[in-house]
Amino acid sequence: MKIDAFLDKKEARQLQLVRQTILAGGRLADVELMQRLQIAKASLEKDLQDLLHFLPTFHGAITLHYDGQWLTIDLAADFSLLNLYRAFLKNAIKFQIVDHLYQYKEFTIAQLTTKLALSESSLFRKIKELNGALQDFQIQIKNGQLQGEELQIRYFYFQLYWQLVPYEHHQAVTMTLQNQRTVAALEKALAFAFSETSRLQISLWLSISKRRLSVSNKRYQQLTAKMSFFQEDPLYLQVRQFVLRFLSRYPLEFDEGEAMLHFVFLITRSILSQAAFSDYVLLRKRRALTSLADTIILETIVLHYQPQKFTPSLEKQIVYYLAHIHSQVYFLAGQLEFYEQSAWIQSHETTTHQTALTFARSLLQKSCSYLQVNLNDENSLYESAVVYYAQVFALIEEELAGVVDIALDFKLAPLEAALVSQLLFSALKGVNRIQIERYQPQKVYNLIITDHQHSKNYQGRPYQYVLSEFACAYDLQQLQKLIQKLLSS
Amino acid sequence: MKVVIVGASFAGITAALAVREQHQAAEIFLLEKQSGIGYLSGGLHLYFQQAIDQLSQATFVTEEQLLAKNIQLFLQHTVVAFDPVQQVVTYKNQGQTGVISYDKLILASGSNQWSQKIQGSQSPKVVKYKYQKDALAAMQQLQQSHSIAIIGGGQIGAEALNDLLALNKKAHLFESLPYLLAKYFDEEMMVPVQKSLSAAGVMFHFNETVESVTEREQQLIVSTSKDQILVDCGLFALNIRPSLEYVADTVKRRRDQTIWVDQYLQTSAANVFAIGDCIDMRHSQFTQQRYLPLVNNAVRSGLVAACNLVRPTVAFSGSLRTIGTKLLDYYVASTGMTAAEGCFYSGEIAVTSVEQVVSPFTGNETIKGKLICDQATGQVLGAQLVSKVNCLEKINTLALSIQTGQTIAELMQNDYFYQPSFANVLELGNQLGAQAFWRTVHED
Repeated sequence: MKIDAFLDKKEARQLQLVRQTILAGGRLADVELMQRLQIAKASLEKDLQDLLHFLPTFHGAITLHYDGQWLTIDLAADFSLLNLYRAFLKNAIKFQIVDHLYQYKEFTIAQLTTKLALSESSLFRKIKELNGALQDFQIQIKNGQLQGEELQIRYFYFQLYWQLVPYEHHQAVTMTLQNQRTVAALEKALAFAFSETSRLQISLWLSISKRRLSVSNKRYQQLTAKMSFFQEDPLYLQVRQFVLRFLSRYPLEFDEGEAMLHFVFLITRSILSQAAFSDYVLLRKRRALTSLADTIILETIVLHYQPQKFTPSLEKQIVYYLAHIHSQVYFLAGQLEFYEQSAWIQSHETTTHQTALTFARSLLQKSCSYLQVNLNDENSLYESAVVYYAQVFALIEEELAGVVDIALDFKLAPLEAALVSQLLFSALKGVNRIQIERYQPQKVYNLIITDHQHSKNYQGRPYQYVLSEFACAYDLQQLQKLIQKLLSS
Repeated sequence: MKVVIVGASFAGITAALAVREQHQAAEIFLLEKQSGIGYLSGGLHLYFQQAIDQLSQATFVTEEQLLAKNIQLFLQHTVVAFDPVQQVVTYKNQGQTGVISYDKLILASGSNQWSQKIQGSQSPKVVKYKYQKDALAAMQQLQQSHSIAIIGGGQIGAEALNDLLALNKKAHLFESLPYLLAKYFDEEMMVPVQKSLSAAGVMFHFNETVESVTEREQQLIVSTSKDQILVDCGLFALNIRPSLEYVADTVKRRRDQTIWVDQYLQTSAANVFAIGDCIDMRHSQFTQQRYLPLVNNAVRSGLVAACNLVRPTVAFSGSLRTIGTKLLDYYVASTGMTAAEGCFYSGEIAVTSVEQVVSPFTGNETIKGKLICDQATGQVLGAQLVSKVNCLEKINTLALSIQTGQTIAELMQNDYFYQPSFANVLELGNQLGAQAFWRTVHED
């Protein structure tokens, strides 16, 4: 589900206009824009006029200039397009309906038509449009309530508010004193230490959960079925006991589903650190579908990269990421897209391995069959999973490529040595994946750059490059070639 | 002064009697929706334990005693609303609506048991026995049944086990948490008790939440996420929640729907107080409030509200959740925090366990004690006792230690009597304090 789905056509188009220009580097020809947005020049000009009227509310943080042919947009260094979305969403009727349902859990038509100053027919139309978009999350607005699996409802709100609410607001407002205490209690109960971001995520999840706690007739059917593999999972049992103990302090009736929801949240949101997760992997059931998928996909990736070998720490890192991809695909449906995923895919295709996305898609197909989920179901999370897999490949390639350790070992006079060193540091600064320093005898290097041929026995028999001239252009060219050779080997 | 009290259970009656003691001239009206008063909610337990011959004997006060104190009792009066501005209470009695004005109003409407989640829990085959009428029906149902499912392993459920074993019934107990009385004890303290109950035939279903009960011919199917058990009837022993339908939004409510009160038990409305199971309980040493529908809390809050009617005088000290009971051959008692709840405490806790013979000359029976204290300050936070010898009274002194903010060094020195036939040279409280204190010395 794209975030634009909350907006009316005109607002969505205006935002697209800004986004497309930013994606193009901040400057785009109007002809190109009209083609991309499929609009006439008159509509474009009207949209630009509206934007020019609206953007000053950001006090210069975003500026737009149109010279009748080219559109130029400048963003301040601390300004994200999300700020623009927030401003548009605040006034968007469809967002207000969803937000009202979060605050009050239900509505009557009379209440909403009055609150939003809408006719009944307009309200019904908006709800219908919203339901079309919410299908991605397998939830819908019906009889004045948000209906569907409770996990999906909370997941939807989490996605919405986590990204929509500024991080500083989460720090200052979402993290209430009570949430702080609960997060600290959870850390103690699970013997984990959460990062600040994880704490804030848990805090938001708790706030959403508290709001939803009093809703009657919550649905857990799919979740219960999926959790059948996790009934003896050690982390689930810990979370379950914590949740039941926590809730038993209040005169509220709760059910097993509540504990399951919190467990799923923890394992699908990268809340656990990699170290904590690695400990959990040792204890979790191997036969759970997600564990199985993690193992199978890891093996497939290992085979794919053969004969290159993964270090144990890289494997752990891969499993950590795979586990999140698979637990999301297994438990959840829908993804709220704030950023243009297709733009990322396009840039990925052009900048990294051409077959990465094909391989990612084949992995998704494989994991879906092990997770027993239907890849044909409409679920935007699947496309995100492809992107996540591709990100795992990028990580692997980065790790496998490693780093070339370079040392400068000169016999020149100190002043001359300093000068050449400075020249080389500056010249090679822009080359990726190298570490360059002055030679230290106790260390092992891949490449030694020196000013004279000698028979010095360097540790680990590194490549040696003797400068032909005082780090001339030729030397730099040769060095770059050598570094690339070392990286690819 | 005209004082109206909604609810004539432990809290309401205690408050009425306490008001009378302090305000001789006050008019006191007690409104109760049931047809009788003073029934002890554990009456059925007393009956099955043969402590009484008839359920009607299970009372703590009679109508006559209240009338003798000039307390006007209105039975079968169901309060449906109150208006804090006009200071009137609206009630229904035999289909007729009436109003009564007040100068001071005390909300003591107690709690009830109902479940929105467990499908079929309203079946007549699932008995409850909080009220006398229910207890009479339950008595008959339980006596006729051979196998019984107890839903909930808290104090009510655990004590019911005793009764059913005494009646030679086959008992299944379902509890969401992993052991019996899990809110009050740590798991290892309950191990011997559970062993003893299992040996007597109790079937425990821990970590199982009952999802539904379904009548099938003369029996009931109890379904959890893991299992289905066929029994003759069920006993509902959980989900005690406040009865506050009449309150609506007239006073401030907490998020868990209990009534918000200040430390003097005054609600957000002038001249309106709330006590007993209508409110959450706080203790000064614990930051978070919790819902603790216990008789001792109801009675104490009734006493305190009566002191504060005219002006805020006595702050309510809250609850430590002190309980004591006997399960088969074990006496078990607990007060304050358990180690399992340590994660909810703001500081770090330290735990000390001891086991000592009751007294050197009365056999080999021992008392197992556990003490929870703040690791940094040594402040006593909780205690648990398990023994085959009646040690229940000891928990009260430990509760007092917590309530008065004692440290383990002070507990170690508490002044207990010594008499070789009845006590140890080092009394259990001193022993727990000393062991906890030595532990800190060793750690240093």
